Amino acid sequence: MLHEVLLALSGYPGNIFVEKDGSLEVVPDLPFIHPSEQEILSSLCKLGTFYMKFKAFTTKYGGAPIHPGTEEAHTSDLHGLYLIAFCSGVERVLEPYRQALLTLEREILEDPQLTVFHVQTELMQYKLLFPAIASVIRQVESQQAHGCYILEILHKNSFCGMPEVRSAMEIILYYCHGVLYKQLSAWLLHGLLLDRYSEFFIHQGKVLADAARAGSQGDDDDLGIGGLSGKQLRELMFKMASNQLGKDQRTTRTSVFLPTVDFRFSSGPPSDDRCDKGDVQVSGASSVDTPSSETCVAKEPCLESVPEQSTGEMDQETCVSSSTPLPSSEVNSEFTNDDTHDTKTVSPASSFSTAQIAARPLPPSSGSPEFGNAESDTVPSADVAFSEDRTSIGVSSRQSTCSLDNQSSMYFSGSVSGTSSVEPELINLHLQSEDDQPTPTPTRTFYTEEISTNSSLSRSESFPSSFDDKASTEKDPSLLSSSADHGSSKTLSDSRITEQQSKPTKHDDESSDEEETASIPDVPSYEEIEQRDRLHTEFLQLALKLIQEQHQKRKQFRKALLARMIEMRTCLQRKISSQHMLATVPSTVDVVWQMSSEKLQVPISQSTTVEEIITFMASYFAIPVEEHIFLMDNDRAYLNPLLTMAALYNPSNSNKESALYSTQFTLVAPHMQMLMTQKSKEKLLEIERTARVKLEKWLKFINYHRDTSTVSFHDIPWPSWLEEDFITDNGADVADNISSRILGVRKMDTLKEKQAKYKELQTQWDPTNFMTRFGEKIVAEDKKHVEARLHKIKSDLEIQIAGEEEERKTYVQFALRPEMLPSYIPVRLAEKILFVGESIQMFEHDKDRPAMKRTGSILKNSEDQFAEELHQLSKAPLFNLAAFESVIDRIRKSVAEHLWKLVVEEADLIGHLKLMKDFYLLGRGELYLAFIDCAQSILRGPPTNVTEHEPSGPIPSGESGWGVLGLSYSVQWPLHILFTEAVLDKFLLSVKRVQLELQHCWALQMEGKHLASEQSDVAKWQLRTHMAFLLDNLQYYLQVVTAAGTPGRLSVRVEVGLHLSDDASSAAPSRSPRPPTLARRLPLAGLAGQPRGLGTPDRHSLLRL
Amino acid sequence: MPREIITLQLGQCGNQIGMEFWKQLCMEHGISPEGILEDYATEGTDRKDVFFYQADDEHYIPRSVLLDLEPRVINTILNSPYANLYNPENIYMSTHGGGAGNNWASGYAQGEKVQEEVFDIIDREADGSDSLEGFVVCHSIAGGTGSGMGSYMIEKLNDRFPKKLIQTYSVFPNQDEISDVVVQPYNSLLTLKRLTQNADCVVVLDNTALNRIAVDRLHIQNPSFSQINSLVSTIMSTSTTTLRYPGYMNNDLIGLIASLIPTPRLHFLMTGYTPLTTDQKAASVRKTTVLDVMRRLLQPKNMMVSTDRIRHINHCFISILNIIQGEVDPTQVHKSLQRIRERKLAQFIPWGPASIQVALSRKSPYVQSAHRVSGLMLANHTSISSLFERCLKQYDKLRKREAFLEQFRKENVFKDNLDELDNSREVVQKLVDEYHAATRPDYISWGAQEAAEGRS
Repeated sequence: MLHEVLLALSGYPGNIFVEKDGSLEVVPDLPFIHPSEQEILSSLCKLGTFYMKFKAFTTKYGGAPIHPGTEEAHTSDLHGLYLIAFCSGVERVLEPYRQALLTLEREILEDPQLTVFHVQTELMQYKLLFPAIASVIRQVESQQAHGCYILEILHKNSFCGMPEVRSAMEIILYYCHGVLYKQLSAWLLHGLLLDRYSEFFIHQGKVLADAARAGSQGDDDDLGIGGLSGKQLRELMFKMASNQLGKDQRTTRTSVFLPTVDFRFSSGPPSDDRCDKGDVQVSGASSVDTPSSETCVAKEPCLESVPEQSTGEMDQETCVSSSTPLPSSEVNSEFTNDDTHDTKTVSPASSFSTAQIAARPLPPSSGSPEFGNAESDTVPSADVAFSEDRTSIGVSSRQSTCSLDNQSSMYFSGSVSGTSSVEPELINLHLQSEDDQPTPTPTRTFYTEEISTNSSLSRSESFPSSFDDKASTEKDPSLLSSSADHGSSKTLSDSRITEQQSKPTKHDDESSDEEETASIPDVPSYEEIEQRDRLHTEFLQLALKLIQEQHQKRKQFRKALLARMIEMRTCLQRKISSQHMLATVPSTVDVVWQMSSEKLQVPISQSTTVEEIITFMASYFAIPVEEHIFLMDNDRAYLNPLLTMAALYNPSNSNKESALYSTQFTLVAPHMQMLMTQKSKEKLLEIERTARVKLEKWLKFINYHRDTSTVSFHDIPWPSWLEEDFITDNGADVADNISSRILGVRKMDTLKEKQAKYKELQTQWDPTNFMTRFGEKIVAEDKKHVEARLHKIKSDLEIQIAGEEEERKTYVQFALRPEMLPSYIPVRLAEKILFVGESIQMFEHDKDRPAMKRTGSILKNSEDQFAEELHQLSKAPLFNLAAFESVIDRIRKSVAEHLWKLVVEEADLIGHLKLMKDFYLLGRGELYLAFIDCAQSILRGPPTNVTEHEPSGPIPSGESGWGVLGLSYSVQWPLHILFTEAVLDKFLLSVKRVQLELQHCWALQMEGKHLASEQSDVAKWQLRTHMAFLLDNLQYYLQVVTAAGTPGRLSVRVEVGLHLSDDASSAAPSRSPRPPTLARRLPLAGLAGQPRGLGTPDRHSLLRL
Repeated sequence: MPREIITLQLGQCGNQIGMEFWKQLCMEHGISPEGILEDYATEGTDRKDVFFYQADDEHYIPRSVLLDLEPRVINTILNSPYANLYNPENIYMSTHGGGAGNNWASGYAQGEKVQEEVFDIIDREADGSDSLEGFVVCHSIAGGTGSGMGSYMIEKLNDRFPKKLIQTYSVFPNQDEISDVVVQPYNSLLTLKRLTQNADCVVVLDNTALNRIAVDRLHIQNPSFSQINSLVSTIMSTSTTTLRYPGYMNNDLIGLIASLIPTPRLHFLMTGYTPLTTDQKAASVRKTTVLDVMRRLLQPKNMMVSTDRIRHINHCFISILNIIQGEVDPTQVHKSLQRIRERKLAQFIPWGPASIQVALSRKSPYVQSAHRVSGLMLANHTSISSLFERCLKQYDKLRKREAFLEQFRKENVFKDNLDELDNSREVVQKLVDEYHAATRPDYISWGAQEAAEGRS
């Protein structure tokens, strides 16, 4: 009973405490519970409910961050590092609670006479705390708090009369500040904007539009280019660094994964709509007593191994997920997390089991070591098999939970549709313990085993292992079931493997199957049972043994399956090949077998027929389509086959060609958005269904044409609904989009990365490579075509990259993001931060410039010092604004000094200002005088093609050549930070021109000075005088007061900075910069309407005279 | 493509002030007396080519034509360190060397005789410039060569280069002392007619005022010609400073003078300059602000034209252009202008828009000045008519007695009659009338009335 209470308090419903509407409640009217007890219990239940919600929240959001690709698409969703930090903060706050539960448990074990009142008194304080936390979480959820806004919420809530709540908030805030400090120090010291989730209060202003555009395609960094982009790598490194830094406090967060064995084997037709989920999570953590030591031990390998592994993993996943020659780059092992997320939501349709990870709120999860497990057999042509075996080992070292989570939940729902000939079978591995309570469908078993917490294990081990097998073969319903009994002193794992087979007789049927999946009841696929226990090593061994057994069996099974597949294919080939030459399709599905550590990529078939592809796609993608989007976080796995085919089917249409390239960005975006916005399962199901319907359509379409036409597939007319799919929604020309998109995305990366990417891309798209993948059946013309296309893409890219090199000059501008700025950080401070980062970035960016003979850091090698200071700050439990600002100020001062030197001394700011003045503000009056003289005849009329010798574009239609005249000034590094792009102010010029005209009139009139003046002459004189007076004064005002005046003031300020810099307080100059443009605008702003109207009429009336 | 200006130096006075002018320009541009650019001046952004051009050997040659009917002054120049500055071909000295004998008619007649040779020089200079803007004539109106030949040259220039501007720096004789030239009133009047009808802009340099200024302001008891000439050269160089140091505005001669001259005949400008220093007196350095400078420029005592206060005529400024040199904050200028307007320090014509215009200009970096700011005022003021009135008065006195007309009658112009004199008087009288009219609001209708009278 008390165990039940404890369990309930840990957020797990049981028989007495049941979950109802998301909250735990005591089952009413139990005979052995006194009404008064009932009351206490229900009040305890509230705590349990809260705890459960917290757990749910932290597991949901606390995992590794979602890939930015999805993030872009689902901007409305909660995600991001701050959220993760928030979760870990919450976890940390919950720590004492767990501790208290542990203590209680021990007490209960020691003293069976303890009453429930004791429990209540012990947990009294949390009754205040939990609602407060819950309200914060609610706020975060309801306001869709993102990034720094979370800080704001926390900060607001930390003003609270209750000390517990306050301290709890401060702890959480502290965690979140960890992220902030990381971003800050990266920004302040290195000028890096580590802000993948756009959480920081500084963002890239200029390329934002581009980024958003590119981002909407779900591609930020992995632009169809395999490889860990530098940005992501940076992110990773940053995360690691943050871990290291936050060592002391963050041990809770620093969870290093215990070996997780995660077998995934999914194959079979889509009709296999069973959601099979066997999650076994065995996680053991060591005792409370030695948390620090173990974390240290555990942490280091993890951190070290991150980069390679993440890369490796990425590659692996790339291969797994994308079968086209254009592998997606799913970079970090968020994959795992995504799995869990997805299966949680998409469960009914998921043919994947989720790896039950030890859900840590933690970045390191991205670096969780994964060892490819022995999957020795390399079956070269496995049509349908998609397997991923992964053993991820992690050591989860939660300080507090020296508890073993043994969680096994099995969900098995099998609905066999009678009409369809599909009999899905699942292999179900189920680990159960002794007191297994088998329940019928849906089975939910949880078993709790408690063992005293004194850990005999010096090293914590937890094996969250999830087995998920799903296999289906076409024929021969071989049932592979194995059950293993794990007898140990206290635990018994019962694993049951059920294998269900599906035998699709016709591939076309699959669609119907798919329909059924929708009808499958929605069952919670993810359950977590936390068990406070100690893990028995025997159990582990047994579990491993079992796993290996399973593995063996599966191997056999797979062999059989593959054989079957091959047979089927040959059969198909026989059937098809006689009819016509099929359009070649790249071997869309590659299977990656992981053999211990090395991976081997095997294309399923070198030459697959279209039908096979379709078959495969139908079988493989139909069901997990949505899931793939979710899981892979990119669409390529799903799309590339389709797209490749799409391109192949219609090679004659050049637009479609490029569609190959572009649609992969565009197609899924709406899906993604939908997915994120309507995350509910029903919606997902619906989407899924539509996807299936579409696929079915596809299938029919292709089949139809296969049957009816003897011509090749090229000639198949392109149906409009397909076009809808493959062309972007807005109907924008895809071909055009590609370049801009790529360009837009790439702007954000440094050039090096771009080049690296490009190289990668080149290799990826190496035509020969590509061709071999296409197989032998490629028709000659196809080949040519593809080659041409590739060439085009390649050259396009080359041009773009060449262009980018020039484009470097247009630097990225950053801006504050006011909505992200926490209120307790004043704007001026944020601006300082922005300034520092911007300048540093500028320096870093161009350090390698040969012209600049600067070596060493900008911060005059005081980087370490500043880093240390920041670190110290981040260690402080409370945010100290004054200290924070003083550090920022110091950094800023140092940077500003440097910048000033660079800008004013090296780059000759004053000289440039003078140039600007001379040319833009017509400071060189005589030059313009001569120019007007010479150009008058040319520019009088409307512009023609010869006006500009190399017309770079359509000539704008102006009434005269003067209207389109422009002067551009290429601002050189590093002055780009001060000058924005400007064009010659035509207004000034036209004033000048009118003035000249008037003077010309004067000269004409002067000729008649010796003649007696006529009445009309006098009038003319008068008119001229008036106009000239007006213009002279206007010009005087424009030039002297405004144009000369404002820059004059600017120069003065710069000069002042010169003097200030002597006493090392050169903050002033750096703040002054922006006025030149202002100065330029000022005359216009003030006088725009009046003089413009006057200028031209004057001239006309004069000429009339 | 600069707007070149050709300078004509005529007669003794013209050549003297011309020489000072070129000296000053050479100093400001860092050009040595030999015409070689000094080492320190190679980086300048100034426009030397308005007044100079470069010979084959890179040395700078003034666009200057030196004309005199007697060799004395030019020989002085040729014996000075600046001898090699000028293009020897541009120097014209009358062969007989007799000079004009302070006789306008003689100078005019000789001008007619030598015009072909002179215009050979001028044409060559004009052809050598890309976009000739105009001519600057330096002369005095009292002597023989400057006034007589000057008048002829001005007429001829106006004929041959109708599109080019003619600006003159005309030195008016000192009224306070008895001139050794008795026919000075005749000369002046006859020259004034040409200046009125053929020049576009006449910068009046009144020896009377210059002397007064030298005595009063510079505390020189007996100012020498060279001292006076240095004042003149300062004015001349400063008035061209916006042409030579390009800025936002007034980068050509026409821009400079067009704003000053609203009606064709009222083109006689008076000047003022402050702060004035001479070589001897560099002592008194005061704080100079823009307001100080502008205020001082408006004071009549700084005006380089001696005008009489005539009570019944309310003289006023037709236009003012202040050329301010030095480190000037434009906002200061603006404030000063406002102050002047508030205090009503300058009274302007009632019949049209007018205000003080300011042209900011750079200072030559090679000429050290004790003053931060210096200013030149070019003003078109109606009171300049008093100068002409004085001329007329003196002429009338002389004419009444028919004195000293024998010399004039010898020349072609006056062989038959003295109509030219009468005609000149009429022109000058009209000019005076127009200046007087310009002080009244009905000036516009005055022009019409006059025209109507002319017709009737």
